[in-house]
Amino acid sequence: MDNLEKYKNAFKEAFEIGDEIITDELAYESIPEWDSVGHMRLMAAVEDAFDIMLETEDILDFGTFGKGKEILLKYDVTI
Amino acid sequence: MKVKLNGLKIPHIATCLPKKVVPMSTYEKFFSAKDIKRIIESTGVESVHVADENLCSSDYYAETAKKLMYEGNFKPDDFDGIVMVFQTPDYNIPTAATIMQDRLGLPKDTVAFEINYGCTGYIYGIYQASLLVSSGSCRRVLVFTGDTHVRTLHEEDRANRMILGDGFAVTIVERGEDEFAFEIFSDGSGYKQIIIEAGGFRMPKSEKTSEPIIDAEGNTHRLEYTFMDGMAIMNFSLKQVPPLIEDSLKFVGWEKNSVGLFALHQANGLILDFLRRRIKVEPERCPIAMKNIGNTAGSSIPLMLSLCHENFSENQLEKVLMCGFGVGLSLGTAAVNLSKTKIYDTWEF
Repeated sequence: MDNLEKYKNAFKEAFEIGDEIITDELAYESIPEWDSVGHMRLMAAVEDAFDIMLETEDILDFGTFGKGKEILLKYDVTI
Repeated sequence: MKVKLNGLKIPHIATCLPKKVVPMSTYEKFFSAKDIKRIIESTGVESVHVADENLCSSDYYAETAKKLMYEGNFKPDDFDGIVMVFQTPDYNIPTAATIMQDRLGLPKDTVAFEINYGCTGYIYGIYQASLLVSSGSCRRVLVFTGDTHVRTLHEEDRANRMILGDGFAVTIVERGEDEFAFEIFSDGSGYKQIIIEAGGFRMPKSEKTSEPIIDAEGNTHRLEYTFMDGMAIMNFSLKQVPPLIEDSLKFVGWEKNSVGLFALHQANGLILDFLRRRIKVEPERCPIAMKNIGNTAGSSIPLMLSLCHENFSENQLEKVLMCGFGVGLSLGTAAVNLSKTKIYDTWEF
């Protein structure tokens, strides 16, 4: 499984959504599932997927699917 | 603020829950089954206890205190202090603390007052009682914590309805041989992040405040009910709690590995798991006990102790670091010894 697939799976697992919704523009509060509870689920799923611990600032900034890719570069995860 | 106070002991911790249990499935009439499943999986809360609508927090306090006095073989004259930490008082005027003095038959030279705190309330309660005892003002103090929070939530407030429950605790602080250490922070810039905006003197209740407000993001706010910005609180907790715990350990001089129990405010399962991973302690030393009670604000730490105490050895309870965080915004720690404390199973009234 490549990193993009792992990354998408984190979103699918956290929000219980299909592939078709997942684009770079998918954003916090753009779907009902990505609320504050969903955000915590997503952060946990991303940390588990890549075996990393996100800095608090990065958890705050993780506002879109696309932004998350940029943030993960800091953790040597290229998507 | 950080301080060490001497000549203290916590001999008894008692807790109570209202008899009425509300399972999360109850909310299927308001929320989708998918939402309910997702939130239960995330928060770890399957049901909560809800206070009888005819009873106040102080009614649950009184029943718990009476049973505790019976179980502990205490007489009313054995107490000379009441610290009541909650946000659901009987009246704006007067304080429920003096009413409690009379209700329990405590002597008239009892010091009795309320403190307005929620999630950090247990730390404030133990701190204030410790001040009273270590200063010589009081011999033995009753600390009351916990709220009838559920009735402050609007029925359509999904996020809070599915996490907050009602629960209460009575803790005794008295003269002893222990030293307790406290560290407390306040950040009032975030006061609007958990708030009931209408009903005080700044914004009295009116026809206008009873109407829902839709914000720019389409979220509904109801000024007469509890509002909580979940993301902001999560950010505050993740940013502030781990460094506070590290600093408190340094202040009290405890190695992290020597601490038997990290008793954190039971905010929700996800936040606790995030915090536990960041302070790098294993689940056994940082328990979560929310499945059937939810987040009980100022009584969440003692309720966790009541629900889990049989899992803890006497040795483990010698070094307990409690941490509360939330409304205010506020956070604090209390480093205490509970190895000789009688922690009761939770009672129901």
